[in-house]
Order: sequence, then C-alpha cells, then structure tokens
Amino acid sequence: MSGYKTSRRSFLRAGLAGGALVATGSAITLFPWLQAAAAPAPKRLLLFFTPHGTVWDQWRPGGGESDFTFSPILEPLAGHRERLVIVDGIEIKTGTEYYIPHTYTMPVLWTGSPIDTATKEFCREDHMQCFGWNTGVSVDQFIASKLTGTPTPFSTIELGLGCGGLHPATRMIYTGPGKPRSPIDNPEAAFSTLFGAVNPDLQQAERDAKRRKSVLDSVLDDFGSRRAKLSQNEKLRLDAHADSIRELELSLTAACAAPPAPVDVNSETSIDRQSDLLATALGCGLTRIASFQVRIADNDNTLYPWVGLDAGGHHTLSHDSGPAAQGKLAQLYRWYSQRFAYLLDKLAATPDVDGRSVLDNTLVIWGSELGQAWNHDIENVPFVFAGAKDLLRGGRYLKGSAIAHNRMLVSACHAMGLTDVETYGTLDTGTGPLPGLFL
Amino acid sequence: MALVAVLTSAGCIGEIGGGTPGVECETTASPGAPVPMRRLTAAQVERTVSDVLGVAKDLQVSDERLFTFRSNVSSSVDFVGARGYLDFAEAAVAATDRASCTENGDACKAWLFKDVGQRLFRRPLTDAERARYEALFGAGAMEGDPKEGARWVLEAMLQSPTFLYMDEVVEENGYLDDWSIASRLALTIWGSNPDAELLAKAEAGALSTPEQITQEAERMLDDPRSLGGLTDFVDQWLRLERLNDPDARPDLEALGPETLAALRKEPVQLVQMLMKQGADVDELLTTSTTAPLPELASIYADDVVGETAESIELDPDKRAGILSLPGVMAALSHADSTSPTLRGYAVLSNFLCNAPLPPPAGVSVTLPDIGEGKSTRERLEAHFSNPTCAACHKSMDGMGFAFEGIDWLGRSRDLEFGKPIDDTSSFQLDGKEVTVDGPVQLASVMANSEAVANCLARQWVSYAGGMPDKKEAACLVGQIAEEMQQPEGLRKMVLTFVGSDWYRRGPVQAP
Repeated sequence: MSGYKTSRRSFLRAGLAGGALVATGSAITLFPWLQAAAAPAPKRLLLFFTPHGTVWDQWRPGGGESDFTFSPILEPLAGHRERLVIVDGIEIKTGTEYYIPHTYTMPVLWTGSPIDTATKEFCREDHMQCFGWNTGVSVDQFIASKLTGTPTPFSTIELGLGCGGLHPATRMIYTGPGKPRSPIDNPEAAFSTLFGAVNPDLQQAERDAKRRKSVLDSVLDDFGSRRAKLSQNEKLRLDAHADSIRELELSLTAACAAPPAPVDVNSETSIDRQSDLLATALGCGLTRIASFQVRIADNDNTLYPWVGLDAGGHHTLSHDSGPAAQGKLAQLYRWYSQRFAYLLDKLAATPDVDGRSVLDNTLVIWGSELGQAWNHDIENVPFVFAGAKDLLRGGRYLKGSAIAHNRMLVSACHAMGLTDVETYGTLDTGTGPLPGLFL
Repeated sequence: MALVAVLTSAGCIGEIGGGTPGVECETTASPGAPVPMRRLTAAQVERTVSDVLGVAKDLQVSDERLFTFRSNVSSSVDFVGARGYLDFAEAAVAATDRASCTENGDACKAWLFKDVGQRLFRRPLTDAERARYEALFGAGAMEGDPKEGARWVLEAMLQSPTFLYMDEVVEENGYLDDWSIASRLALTIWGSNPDAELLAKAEAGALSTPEQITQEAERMLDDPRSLGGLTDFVDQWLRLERLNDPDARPDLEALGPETLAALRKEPVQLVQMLMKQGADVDELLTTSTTAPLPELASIYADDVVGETAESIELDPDKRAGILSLPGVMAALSHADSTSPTLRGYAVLSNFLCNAPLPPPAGVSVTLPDIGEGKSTRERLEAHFSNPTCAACHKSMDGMGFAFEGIDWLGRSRDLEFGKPIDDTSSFQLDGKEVTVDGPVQLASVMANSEAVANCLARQWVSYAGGMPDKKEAACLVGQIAEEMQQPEGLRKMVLTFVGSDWYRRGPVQAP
C-alpha cells in the first residue's frame, strides 16, 4: 500500500508559458501554445557559473557608469549592452580560515552560508583539512520553495558541464544543509531528462508512463518498510532519496514539445547545446528557476585547445601570475563571455507568452568562486547581471568595493517577488539588495 | 609546446598521523569502524547487475570522492541520481534474458524471488517484499505477459533502497549479523554481490567468528571474481582513471581501446597474480614478472625476456614491481613528456602517505625557458634555483627522476633528445637522505621501508572500511603492515582486516 499518490495537477492553469505536456490519467498530452498574450509572463531566475574568477585588468571595463567601454574579456557581450549590469566590487566571505578558497567558496557562492567544518567527511591530506558539505540552502532552491501558483513540472533545473564526482568543490546548488543537488552535466542526458517523455508513439508513451508509475510506487513502498531501524541521519538520507523519486515521477509525465536532439556534441560545443536546451525549457514552462554550472571549482584541469590552452589545464594555469599564463587565461575568459553571450542570444530569441522574449522576463546572474585565481582572491569577485527588462537598470557598469555578496542573493529574491527578504544566508554581512541594480 | 609542471592535489586518506609504525597496541580488540550507511558505488552496482543478470550497462550516478577511494556515506540521492538509477534499471532490464518467463509464471517467479531477488538484496526477501513484488508482477503481466511482469519487478528491484544501500544489521553483541558480513565481504573482495555459497553460509550462521570469516575470505580471494574488488582498490589507489581523461592525456586514445584497456588493467592483474603466488609486499614493489597481456607487447618491446602461460618475465635491470608498470607510469605523465613531479608526488602520497603541500598561490608553475633540446630533468632542475619551488620539488621531483628511463607511454628509453638519460635520484625516506640509480634500486629501497608497508596497509583499510582510516585503527594498521611483510603477505592484508574486530563491528549509530 503506497502512501504516495502522484499529483495529477493540470499545468494548463495559471500563467504557464506554452507548449507544456502533462499527464492526464497516465497518457501524455501535448498542449498547444497558449495564445495568451494578455497573461503576464512568469518571472524567472537563471544562475550561471564559470570557474576560477577572471583576469582583472582584462575584465574591468573602462569609463563610467553609463558611458563604460567594454574590456577585452567582456566585449563579446556588447550586443546585449542595454540588458546588462556589470558589477565590480562584490566580496565573498567564506566564514572560515581554511586554506583552499575554491573548495570553500563554491558552496558559499549561492548559499551565503559557510561549509560545515565540524563534520570531517572530506579530507585533503595535502592541506591537512577535513570538512563537510555546505550548511545552507542555495538561493534558487529557497526561491523555488516560496513560489506560489501552479507548480511547474520541474521545481528547478540544473544543467552543467563536466561536473565530476560528488564533492563540496563540485556542487553549488543545495536544497538543504548537507544536501547538494547535482547538475545534469551533458547534453544527451539533459535532453532525455527534460524532453524524453515525448514519444511520437503515444501508445508506447502511455505504456511507459503506466509501468514507471507502478514500478516507482513499489520502490517508494520499499523505502517505507525500511524506516524503522535506522538512525536519524540515515532516515534523513533515505527520505531525501524518496523525495527525489517523487520528483522524478512528476518529471516523467510532463514535458515540452521536444526541440531537436542535440547533434555534433563535443567538448567545445556542448556548452552551447546545454544553453539551447535551457532556453527551450524555460520558454515552454518546464521550470522558472535554473542554473548552469560550467565545470568545477577545484582542480579543474580542463584543456581548451581551441583558445590555445592545450597543456596543463585551467586550474594549473590559473595559479600562475606570469604574463604569459594570464594572457592565455584571458583568452579563455573571453571565450566564456562568448558562450554567455550565446546563452543570452538564445534566451532573447525564445518567445514568451507575453509576446516579448524569455530573456526579458528572466534575471540572469553570472558569477564565479574566485575573483582572481592566482592568489585565490575573493575580496573582489566579478559578476554580470542580465535580462529582466522591467527590473534591471541595464546598460551600466557599477563600481564599488567590499559589497557583501549576500546582497546579490537578496537581489535575486527581490527579482522573483520575495521583496520582504532583507538578508540571505547565515554569513550575512549585508542588508538589502545590491544598491543601484534595479529600476 | 610548453612543459608545464602540474599542481596536483590528492584526496586524503584519513586523519593526519594515523597508523604510524610502532604504535603500542593497548588492546587487541579495536573499536568498531564508524561507517555510516553506505550506498553502493556505481562500479559495485554495475558489477552486481553484470553478475546476476548477465548484462553490462553504465550507471550514470556520481560517487562521493571522500579521499583516495570512492564511498557514498554522506550524500543523499538527488533528482539526477534518481533519474540515473531509473535509466540504468530500464536499460539493464531491457537487455536481460527473461526466457524462463513463459505463460506459466511459476518458474519465472522462482527465478525472480529466489535467485535474482536474494542475490540483489544480499539476503532472502521478506514476506512483505515478496507479496509486493507478486502484485507488481501480476500488474505487469496483465499489461502484457509474464516477461512484462518480470520487467516491472526487476526494474523495481534495481531501484530499491534494499539493493542500493548496505542494509547492515547489528546484533546485541555489537557485531554485524551474518548476512551483513556476507554483504561486506562480497563488496570488499569482489566489488559485487554475494554468491549462492556465501549466502548459504550466512543462512547457516557460519560467518560468526573471525576464523569462519577469514576461511570464507580465502575462498573468495581464490575466485576469479576477486578481480572486481582488486580493481576498485588498485585502480583508485593508483588513480589510473587519468589514463582515460582526455583533459589529462588527450594523446592516449590514439593507442586504440585494447592497448589502453590493457595499460589500465595490468596493475590490477599483477596484484591478483602475486596474491595467487603467495607474494608479500616486497614482491609487489620489486618483482620483474607481470601478468600476460599481449596488447602491451609493443610497449614493453625488448624488456620482455621470457614468457610462460601464467606470466611474463621482464628485464630485471629495467623493471621492478607495480611502480614501473607502463600504465602506472603513463598515468603519471603528460602527453609527449614524462612528469617526474607527478611521479614523485604519487610515490610520496600513495606509497608513503605523506603528500606534499600544494604550491603557494601566485607561484608561476610554468617552467623557466632554458632553450631547446634540454632534457626533462634539466628543465625541472632549473626551477630548483627558486627556493620557493625547491622546498617541495626537490623531494618530489628528486624521487620522480628515478623513473626517467620510462617514457610517457611506459616504454623504456635510454636517450632523450639524443642524450643519455640520467635517472639517479635523491630523496628523504624514513628520515634519511637516500640516493638511488633508477627504478629498480628505488623499488628495493622502498621494499625495505616500514613506512611503505604501513602506508599500503592504511590504503587497504581505507578502501575496505569505506572511510578514511582513523587514528583508532593505527594499531590494526601496524599489525596488517607487519603481516604484509611475511609470506603470503598480500593475502594476509585482506584476511587480517576482514577478520578483525574493526571490520566485523556494526556501524556506530549516531543519533
């Protein structure tokens, strides 16, 4: 006897962007596009991460707030000028004196809370330090938990690229203390997870849906029968697993009209293919909140031969303050900018239910776990905000210093309508949203 | 192409100072190893499904990288994990032969509930489980036929927490019950599930004493399936995954899949072969024989001096033990150049449990340009003139120079840029400055080092315990290290640990 019933809500109601498919009974039905130009479009949030900070003298724009000139690294974003706010001067505090900022900052970036240094699960003998997961909730998950109205098929979507094994330095999204949430880190898996329910053979789709529901309900029963003899911590771990299966059940019976499957996926193109899927998913209402994690925060030794980085890898090079290495890194960071520009292009090209573009209704935040890699500096970490037409006072370069990064998280809450949030995370050293960001 | 020294940072194997040689043992009974509930690693799940259902599929669910070894003790399965298990279950079951599931479903149900179910769950199904799967089988059969019923049941079993987690039961006396011991033994030694014989022993209560357990472990070590557990141990210990990392070694794919697989497999097969022969830890470090892998003939070239059906004899002046194997050496190189730094670091970290600190921030890790045609050694020595680098690199690179006669694919070489290789090397070992000439001398020095035996014992305890080794295990580690230096030492490494109090105790139940 299962204590769980799959929710059969109709996603047709309440301002969902068009094209969603949902289960009715067990079949999967395709919605037509909602021709509801009158409907206000949903507000959305997208967090974008690239590793190892930047090269400051190649990143920092010239000029003033409104008449700034693009730097070599940011120049690929020139086409989106009026939709951008470039912020220089945000400081991240990790709340620990531990040595390795990569590992300790990535979990802090979106949670505003410190890692757990009391638990000693993960050890680095070369640093003589042991630590656990983060102690907080990342801002995207917090916002998702507060959203009202019809739930989207996916509460949030996390995509990534080569995000490695489970480790505090490889996960940035947290549903709760000690509960990292993994990104789907390759386009094939992302396509099948987000759009896999679409099967032109409707009868087969229906059979699959029925079987999966019965199978997963049986699996959930199994969880129930194991609970009695476990410690509190083990119960929590199993409960979280069961919750994930419930979340999976919902995702299996809702999808969008599938975009074309990603083709020509390789190490150079997969980043854009993930952007394609993300734009489609946001545009058709699979979720309102997403994140995109490019690689990992520690020991990411990816090679990028197409920008001339063909030996040693990103992390190794980032430790080198010499001009040759920094020049190579600047080329890589410029390439990241090009890819971020591509993501914005896709969002701008995806129509929204209000007749505007998805980008117009989405706040996009681009951040990193370090400011400057070679000295592990986190006193100034580069951020770029984009989109959110009715909210962001675009076309500007804001220069400050030691602005608590928690205020960036407060801004994200405000953008999503949670305007009563004044502080975010337990490391909070700042109150209120970032000054001058919004209209 | 610039030669780049590499910043590595190894995972950690436990608390600093654990398992130092010569620890006074106050008591023979170790406290239990505080291992929380473990979720099987991806490799363990894949191997079990291959053993039970006869299908090989990839499971795309991440493991925790706690330290050198993978073990899932702290994380929960998130949405992506749940999806990964679903995809794996569906793919594996679709490929499973369900021929016994004919219109009369009895044979099919017996197969599902007695044979498959018991092996996947590592214990018999409870009545409640059986009733639930009966119902699921019926529902599936209604949709199609008994084969469809079997499909539904198998998909549910492969996603069940009973299969995916170690379901360890602690008895009144604080020790694990026999079913739990059987599961632990199977995962440690085979990296997979218990077989019928092991389950029968658990049912008979014949896994209750250290003697019974070590006797069973003897049988398991002799079974070909021991390659599974040894693969998980050796492959992770030596970080051989680097061989298949296109970012680290974009050049290796060109060797072809067979050669690459053989490079990666050889260290594991050598350990298995030595165990069979009753070797001790010294032989692991010094032997000039290896497992027969014809795919590596072109890499070994003239180093092969003899051959039998069971083993290959290598030139004892050029090759010694596990460190000089081509796969190990290639994993510790860059594309087109050796890396004395990586090699020295690996010896310090994996064989001496004494990883050097990473370089301070801002240090240029690009080697100074000293012109064309200089040897790798000369280029590395050039940065010894910088005291910041020399502080650590002299010991790391100094040790790594011993392997300069083995190139980035693991081939022997006498020359680099037309000049003779200099593979003399100096480093600190057991508190003394040691100088050796080449990998064979290095191996013999290491074979006589207490620190090496002790470090290997720590690595094994970490792997088999599922957690970084703890200070409390220092006495046990010391005991295992001593046994490793006696006849049958490699087997004793396994047997002593699985027979110990430490291994047999249940996980400490944190509130």
